[in-house]
Amino acid sequence: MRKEVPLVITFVVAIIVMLSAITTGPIPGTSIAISDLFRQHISPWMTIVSAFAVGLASVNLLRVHTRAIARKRNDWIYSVILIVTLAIYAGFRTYVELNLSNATAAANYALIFNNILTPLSAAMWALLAFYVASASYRAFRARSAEATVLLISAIVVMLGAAPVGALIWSRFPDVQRWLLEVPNMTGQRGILIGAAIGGFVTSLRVLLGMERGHLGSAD
Amino acid sequence: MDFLKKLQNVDRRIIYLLFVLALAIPLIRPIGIPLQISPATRAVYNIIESLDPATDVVLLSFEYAPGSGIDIHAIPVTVVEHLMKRGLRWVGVSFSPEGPLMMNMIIDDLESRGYKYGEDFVNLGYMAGEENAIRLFSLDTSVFTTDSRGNSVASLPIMQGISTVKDFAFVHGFTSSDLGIAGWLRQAVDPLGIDYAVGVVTVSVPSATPYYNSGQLKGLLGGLRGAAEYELLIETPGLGASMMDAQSMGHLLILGFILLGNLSYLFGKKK
Amino acid sequence: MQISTNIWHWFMAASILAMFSFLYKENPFYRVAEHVFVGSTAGHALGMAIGNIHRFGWRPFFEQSKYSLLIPLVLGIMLYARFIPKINWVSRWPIAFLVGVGVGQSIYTSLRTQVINQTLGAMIKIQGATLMQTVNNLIGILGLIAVLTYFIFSIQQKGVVRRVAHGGRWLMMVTFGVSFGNVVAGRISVLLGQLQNLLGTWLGII
Repeated sequence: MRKEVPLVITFVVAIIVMLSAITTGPIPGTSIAISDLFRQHISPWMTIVSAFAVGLASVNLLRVHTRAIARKRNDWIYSVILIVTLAIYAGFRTYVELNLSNATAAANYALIFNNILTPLSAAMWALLAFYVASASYRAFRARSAEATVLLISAIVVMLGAAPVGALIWSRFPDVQRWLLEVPNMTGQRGILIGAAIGGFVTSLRVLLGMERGHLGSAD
Repeated sequence: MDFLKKLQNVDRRIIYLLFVLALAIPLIRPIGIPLQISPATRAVYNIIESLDPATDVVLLSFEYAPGSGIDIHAIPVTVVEHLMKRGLRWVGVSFSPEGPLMMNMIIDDLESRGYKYGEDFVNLGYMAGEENAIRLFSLDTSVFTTDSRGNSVASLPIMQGISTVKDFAFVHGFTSSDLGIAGWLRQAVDPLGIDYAVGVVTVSVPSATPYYNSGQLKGLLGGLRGAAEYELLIETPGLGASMMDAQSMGHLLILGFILLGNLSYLFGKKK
Repeated sequence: MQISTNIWHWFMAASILAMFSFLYKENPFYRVAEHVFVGSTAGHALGMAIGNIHRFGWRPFFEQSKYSLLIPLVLGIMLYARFIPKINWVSRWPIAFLVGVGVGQSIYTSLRTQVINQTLGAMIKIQGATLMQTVNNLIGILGLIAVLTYFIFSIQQKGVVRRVAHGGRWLMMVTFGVSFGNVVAGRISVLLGQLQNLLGTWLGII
């Protein structure tokens, strides 16, 4: 029951969803079309279950940090900050979502979203620019012929992608575009097709119950 | 050689400082280096130019988080500017939780300039479920019964005559993940045969190129540079264009770092 | 120079500077910013998720009598059983549902979008209008075969196969180089946005 039911659910749901994309008309002998079954039931259900799943990570985070506070772990004060912030944003956003026509609440939420969450998030990612700068000095070495090819194409792309490249040599943008649209495109296409075939095989294994990792191991 | 050895061990914070200066100075004092426009950018411009403001409505899909910052946000800003210039109406939707808020930043600006919500544009909000949500919405836009402001979608003038994604004259996505590229292509563009272009973060440009080459994507705007090119096309320079000089300086400095690093490595090896 | 008097611009600047302070060394300002960042992002996602459950589940269930929506609402609650060790197996049902939809949705569509349509995109006439175009077309076709050969693990890579796969490897080096160049450009762009916020919006220098 604990193992079989999930496998049956996955199989049946996957078959319905897959067939809904490639069949038309009702199932022989019935008045139900698979595409309608998908559109009216499975897909709207998925939206709701997915929404519950989105909240899962936040609830898990709450658990981890509540435990850190309860056990007074090192730097537990930061866990307090995290939980308070999470509660404020979750509470405020929930209020806005449940009262969509309240323009004042939405505008106030936008203030904390635009001026705290957004800059924090972008600044966190911007830190990577500094690491790239530092790594370009210390790590990007032409240690082998292959690494040299990688480095040269990266240099040409950098020169071609910034306007200054055209000032140095007028053909840099053309060479950059050629690298992007011919060798890169070909390589990416190969990777893309390879990954899709790999994904297809994995999906098939999940569908047939040969791959059960997502269901966990403990009973 | 000692000098090169010393260079190899330079404090990383000096590199950071040099980097900030190289970017900040041209931001404050731009030089105005000319910019070439790529065919993929021009393709988006040509599609929007070919639309009829009297009958056509455009769908914009926002799939990006604030972490990608201006590298993606500058793209919808300039595309929306073009739509408004041409008098084209647009409907916004989002399949990532931060998307509706990013869209609202653009909407706030439009409303302050006198454009009318519900008539010129609308923000339908967010739907969870990623690819499933894209497919569901594409097959039946009425899954959103209310918009992000709680209005009944059926009563909005802009939504009249729209029941599936095929009723939009053109769909443009903005994405910082694969959802707006492969996700949209798999669930809506290929099965329904709609015209779709996408604005992506610079990092995603190489992986999106095969889709543009195969014609599945009708246009491709890549990061801040793509936004800058578009701003020039619509003759409204904005954030993208103003930052291209600083972008150039950043690239030059990184190249300088790579060169210096490799020189000291080579000489060190010979020694 | 005209420093902003808007308190929210000061919040924005403080957020950016606190994050950037990590570049000097780890410090309490950065730790606070880091935890506020994680908390706010998770809180926002949680609020949006509750909004979606209310909008697409709760309201249609009560206002439009769509009683079949009880199924996903119960499945969604079952997901949280994973936090209760004694009944964590209950969460397998909704996970099985999520995986089922995901698999059903990708199994056919990814073949169509990424394999069939991409292969069709590669099926071009080799001879182009110019010599350069012909060369490009040749790279496009032979290069694709070489890269795909590199990914064949079901046969031993030796002889001609090995040489072709090796060609694919070289082509992928160019691909990775292009990707790296774009990573540099992209990260600089994100940083530029933050410098614009600091120097323009906050300090009013730009």
